[in-house]
Amino acid sequence: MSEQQTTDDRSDIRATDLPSNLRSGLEPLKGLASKIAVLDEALDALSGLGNENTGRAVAKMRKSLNAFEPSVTMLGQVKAGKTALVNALAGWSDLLPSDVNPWTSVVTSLHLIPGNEPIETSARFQFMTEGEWDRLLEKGGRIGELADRAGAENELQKIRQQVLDMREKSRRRLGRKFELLLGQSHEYSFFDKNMVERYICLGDDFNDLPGDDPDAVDDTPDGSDEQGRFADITKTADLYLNSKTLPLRLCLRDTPGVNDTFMMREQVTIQAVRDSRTCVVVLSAHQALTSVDMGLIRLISNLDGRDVIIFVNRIDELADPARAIPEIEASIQQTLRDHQGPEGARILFGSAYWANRALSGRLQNMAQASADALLAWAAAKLGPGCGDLPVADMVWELSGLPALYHAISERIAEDVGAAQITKVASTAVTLAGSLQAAEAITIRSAEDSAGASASMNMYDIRAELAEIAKYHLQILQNDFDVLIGEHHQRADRVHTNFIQRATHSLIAHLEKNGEDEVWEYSPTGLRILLRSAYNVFGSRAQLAAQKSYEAAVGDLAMLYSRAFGPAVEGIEIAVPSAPDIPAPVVLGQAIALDFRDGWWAAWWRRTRGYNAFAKQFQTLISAETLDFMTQLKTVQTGEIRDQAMATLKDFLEQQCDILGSLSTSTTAQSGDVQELFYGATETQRRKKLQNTMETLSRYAA
Amino acid sequence: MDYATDRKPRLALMGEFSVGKSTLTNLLLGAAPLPTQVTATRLPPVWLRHGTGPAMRLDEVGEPHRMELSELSQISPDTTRLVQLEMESEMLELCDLIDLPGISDPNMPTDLWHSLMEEVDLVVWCTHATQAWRQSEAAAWEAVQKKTVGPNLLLVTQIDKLTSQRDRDRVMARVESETAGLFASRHAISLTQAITAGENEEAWINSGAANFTNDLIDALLSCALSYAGAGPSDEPCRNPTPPDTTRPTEQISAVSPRRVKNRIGERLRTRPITPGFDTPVLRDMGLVPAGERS
Repeated sequence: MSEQQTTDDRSDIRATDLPSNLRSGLEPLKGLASKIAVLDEALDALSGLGNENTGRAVAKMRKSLNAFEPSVTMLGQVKAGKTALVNALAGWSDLLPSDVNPWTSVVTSLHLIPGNEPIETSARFQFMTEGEWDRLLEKGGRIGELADRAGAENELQKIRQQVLDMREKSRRRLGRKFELLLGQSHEYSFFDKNMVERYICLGDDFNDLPGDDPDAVDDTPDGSDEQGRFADITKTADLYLNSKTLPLRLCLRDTPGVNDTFMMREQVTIQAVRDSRTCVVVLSAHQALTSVDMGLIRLISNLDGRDVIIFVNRIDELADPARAIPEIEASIQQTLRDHQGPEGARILFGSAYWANRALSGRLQNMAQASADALLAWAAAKLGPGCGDLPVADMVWELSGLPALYHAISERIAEDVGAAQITKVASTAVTLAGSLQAAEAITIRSAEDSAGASASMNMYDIRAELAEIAKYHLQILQNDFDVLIGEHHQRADRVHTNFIQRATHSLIAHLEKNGEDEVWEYSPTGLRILLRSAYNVFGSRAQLAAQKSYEAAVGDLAMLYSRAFGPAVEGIEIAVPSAPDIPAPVVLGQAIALDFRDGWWAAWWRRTRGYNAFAKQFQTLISAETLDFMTQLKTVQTGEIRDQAMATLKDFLEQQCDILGSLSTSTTAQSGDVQELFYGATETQRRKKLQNTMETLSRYAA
Repeated sequence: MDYATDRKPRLALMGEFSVGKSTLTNLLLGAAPLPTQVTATRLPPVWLRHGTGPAMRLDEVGEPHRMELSELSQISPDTTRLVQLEMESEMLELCDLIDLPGISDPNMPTDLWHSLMEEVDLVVWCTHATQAWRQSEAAAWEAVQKKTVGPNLLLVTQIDKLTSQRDRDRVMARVESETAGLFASRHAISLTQAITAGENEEAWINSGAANFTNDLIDALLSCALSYAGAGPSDEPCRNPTPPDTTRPTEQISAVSPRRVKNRIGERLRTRPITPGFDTPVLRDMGLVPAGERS
């Protein structure tokens, strides 16, 4: 059964039951989609106005525009209901398997594609590589590292044991295929429930309950092994499916829960945060905002402090939602305020359970408690005028899904959506500008065919352009080397300083209180100073890039002017914008000092003697902060440098293309200029180009 | 009653916040002295013992102050280290009950209960059925368990949130496997059903409360035995003021049913717990079933 058929069958059968307001909340995304459509139309027009080079460049831009796929990542503690929520957002209540025990152990991306176009690849499962496996075995993830250094031998052993057991189990199950599979990926043109379970559900070991799996088929000799057959070696899963409601592509990402006793899951999830712009933290209504949730929120808001969406799921389990929800909301707000959480975080309430019931048309036989809660919430939430709505629509509204979709859509439209449009439009403006420039050249040769502007031949121009490119790339590279060097010094100084101050405080504490009282020292200061060091680097890097780009454009303008004379006068070459500086997410990483209970206290108890304290503490903190120091000093700065260099390189290559256009225009069209200039077609073309230019400029702003 | 010589087992109720510890306390006492709410209850540890004395609170430096029970919801852990309540509950004839603040609450200091752990004999660890036994619990329990003498119980609360028997069995099977060796026994309970069971025996049994309280009482009895013959304890929270008999416990509103009370009553009717009990006598009385856990 193909995935295509699945969707169609499903919607046909249930068409009458489905809520009619499934598009509710998607308005901002729809606005974004129509902007993209206008831009795409302008690009299409542009493509017909230039030569082959123009066509190729435009095709590339349109491809990038159509491939635009914002992603939303669901994060939260184990069993908060992330998978059920992803299913509800995808409009397919039983798409991804969920269970009362933690099952998801893989980051699963659902790629929703508007319309009904057949999808070539519907499912792709990527397996871990040998190296990733070994890393798991050696390090046991970040928490394992923490455990190792603090000497919590048991915990590390536990993680090692977990990993070894897991590896052994999959090796037994897969036989010699095990080694062969690592690093590979499996692709399918369809998917079904069993396949998905086989790859992403790390089922539990407690399947020996009588009559446990009613769906188990007897024809597989090892039926219980079939489920989760590849799950323990799967790294990522990508499923592609059509959506009838979304106006744009959207990727919904489901992650394994954090705070799972199977600690590898947490590690997988923390990695996923780094790749996500829009995150929804899913809480369970019965327990508002624990310290683990708070840690997660900090990690995300470090990524983008502007806006975190918090979705309090499972309000169907509250006895009296109308009374409890304002109380829970106030409590969450207060906790966020008291602990310097992100300001203005959106807090939404809902129930994926209700949403999925509405989607599957099973509103009748809901659990009694849940149905009671729904009625109570309906009475409080819906005005008197809502009585006319179909029940399914009402439940969908009450499930909080439209509100969640609205928050997500708004966020996408303002953030990545707007950025994507500006990026494509700016590139197009430059290209359209070059077409106008090419035109100007034509006019020039028509007026003065004897024109002295041929003082430089194409070969010379190209050679000089290459020279300019080489020079500016080198200068920028040198600038960055200096900046990164300075940044290293600054970060190291801050780091050393912090360790010194903390050690002094530790010794002072020991002298005053002795060893029995646990000492605490907040690493906030270190984070603030490192962040400000990073920000200094960031703004200097932007400045250096901007300076370099302007200088390059200046030199190019000179070259054009010398090469083409007054013909290019007045033509504007856009200066590329300096790269954005990504937030120092890595600073959100928890280090030993963040753990106020558990193993910090254990470390404290195990350590004895003043000297041992100071020495071990220094080793501990150096080791603890090693990862984020490396990330901050080398990895992130390197990424910024590479991006700045790439922008300049792309720009220069683009200029090379433009040069191509300019030269073909002069040579190919110099023959019958008169006709070209006065011809009706050409006049129209120029007008069209002018219009296109205006449209593009509006979006490029 | 002289606390110094009558050292009862001390039972602590622990777990993450909002898993129903206060509700459980109220259920065990057959009365509702503790406020319950949908968000975290931010009370300092509450030490409940048998008696009719006034409610007391110990401030930051350990200085005792009299307080009204009605003030309980205004008590802040910032200024109060411990609240002591006395009640005439049958449960409290068997043990002292300590309701500890929930772990994982970002708004509660973690050292609140660390110092108290030295005083605790056994623990009922509560975990919410839909998110049972997370790493934050496993890690905290690892530290707590060493300080107890046991036998400790794991109680999976709000089991009614899992609607099918299969789901309940699966969660319990996982919890059983993950906590193997960490608890003497594991139970599932629906606190809501237990509280509303009334005199309905079947509902009481179905809620899981019957099995749990039976096991708990056995655990307490076995714990009491290990204290039999022990010398006067270093009671840290002795009430410095004489019991105030004018304060009626009736102001603590009763919840129905008083099943826990009845059950303890059945077991204790003929004999109050006093030092000097020995196992054969108890076994003869049928108080500890033969071959029962220790």
